[in-house]
Amino acid sequence: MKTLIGVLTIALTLFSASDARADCKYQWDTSNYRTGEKVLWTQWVMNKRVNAGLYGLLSGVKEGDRKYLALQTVAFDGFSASRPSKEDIDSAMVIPDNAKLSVLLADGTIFDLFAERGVVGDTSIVVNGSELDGDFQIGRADGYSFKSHSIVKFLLDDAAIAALNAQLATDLRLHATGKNYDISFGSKPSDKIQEVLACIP
Amino acid sequence: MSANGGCQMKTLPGLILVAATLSTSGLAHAKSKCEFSQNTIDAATGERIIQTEFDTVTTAMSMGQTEANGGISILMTGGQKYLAINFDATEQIRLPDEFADLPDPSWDPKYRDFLDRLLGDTAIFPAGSTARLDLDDQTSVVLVRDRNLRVRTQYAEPGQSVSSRSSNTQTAKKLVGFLAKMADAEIDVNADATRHYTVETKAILKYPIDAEAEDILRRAAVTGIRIESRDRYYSMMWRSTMRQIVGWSDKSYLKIRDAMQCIDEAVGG
Repeated sequence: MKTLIGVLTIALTLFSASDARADCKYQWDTSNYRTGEKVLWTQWVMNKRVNAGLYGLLSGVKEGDRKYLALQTVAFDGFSASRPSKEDIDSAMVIPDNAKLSVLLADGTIFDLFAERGVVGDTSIVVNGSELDGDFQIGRADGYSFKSHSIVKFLLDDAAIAALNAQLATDLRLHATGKNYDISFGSKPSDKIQEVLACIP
Repeated sequence: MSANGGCQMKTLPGLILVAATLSTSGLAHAKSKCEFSQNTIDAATGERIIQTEFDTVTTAMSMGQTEANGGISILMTGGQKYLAINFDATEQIRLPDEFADLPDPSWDPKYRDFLDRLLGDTAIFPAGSTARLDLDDQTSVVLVRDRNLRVRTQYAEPGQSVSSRSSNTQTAKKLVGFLAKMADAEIDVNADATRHYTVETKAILKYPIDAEAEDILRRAAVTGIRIESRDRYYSMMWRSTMRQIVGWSDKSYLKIRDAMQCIDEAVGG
């Protein structure tokens, strides 16, 4: 009888695990062209946007045996009355090597992750609010604004995964060169991070 | 007889279906065959020159200020392979405030300088400038120009369009959608249009492909290209939306790989 219950329990556990995994969707499922390692990125999950002109998306990543939390940041900021220079564009969003991503957890503690490699965000120019993205107007009516985009991966070890799974999160702060990008999950703590972590095989 | 006839009637549509399927797959195969814009021997050097036809790369949408349409091709000359990009970018340049209220700014020498800069500043691709090819494994390959290129640009005055743009159906469709969104958001497009010059840059850009890049591009799916000029970066259809990244359409991912393979087959053959 005990054996039967044990078998049923294992079967149910396996079933529910595979059922949860079945809900996972992947944006990229391929191999690294240089190393041959398996590369898997979950579909991007969007944070709740609280400030006009800044939003973030999360993805769970597996490359070989390594696991990452990836943050895609899109920011509409900076302003120039005259046509911006290339230097303006290159410095609009700079995320250094070892950049910190602070995760504010529901109990008020902060857990820090660190970027494996920095990036210079891809910045394009938006003239006079002439671009619409979704239902938001971007830019201002009297000059040039910048739209910057970056994707940064933060390495996850077992301790990080355990810490992020233990609690809901409320905010993210990406520490970039010269500025921080604060991305909120909204008024209530969110399980978005746990959602993407659960889909990393 | 009637049973046999019925059987034949059933078989006939089946055969037609099979024939049609084979014919369609044959067409699909024919479309994937290699086409070359040149395949010749240079009379002066004796070197073989092969180039695939430009193949257009497309995306779902594009409304940025420095995004480019165009096509890609692989050129091989003197044993060196190049990525050739048939590049067509438009950019909106805002009329500076100092000229905005002049009844006829063409009398102002500074205004003429402004117009000169429209033509001069936006189309220089120096040696050392790059094309970054984004791959579906979320890495990239960077190609570096080996020579300077200065390209003649065209511009249209506020409220007008460069003629070739207006004939571009894809651009026109995007514009219709964009204007509809602007109208929904109650933004006065005409007010902005009176302040913007449209600068169009067309060029064929060539980037040498080194051995590592060649190895990768034979296998890789390319999702977008970011092109560097002296003053700008141009995205060949890479952008993010609120909920997803939009690069090239799936159909365009393998066009560089296919062109590389066409060159390999031609050289091997």
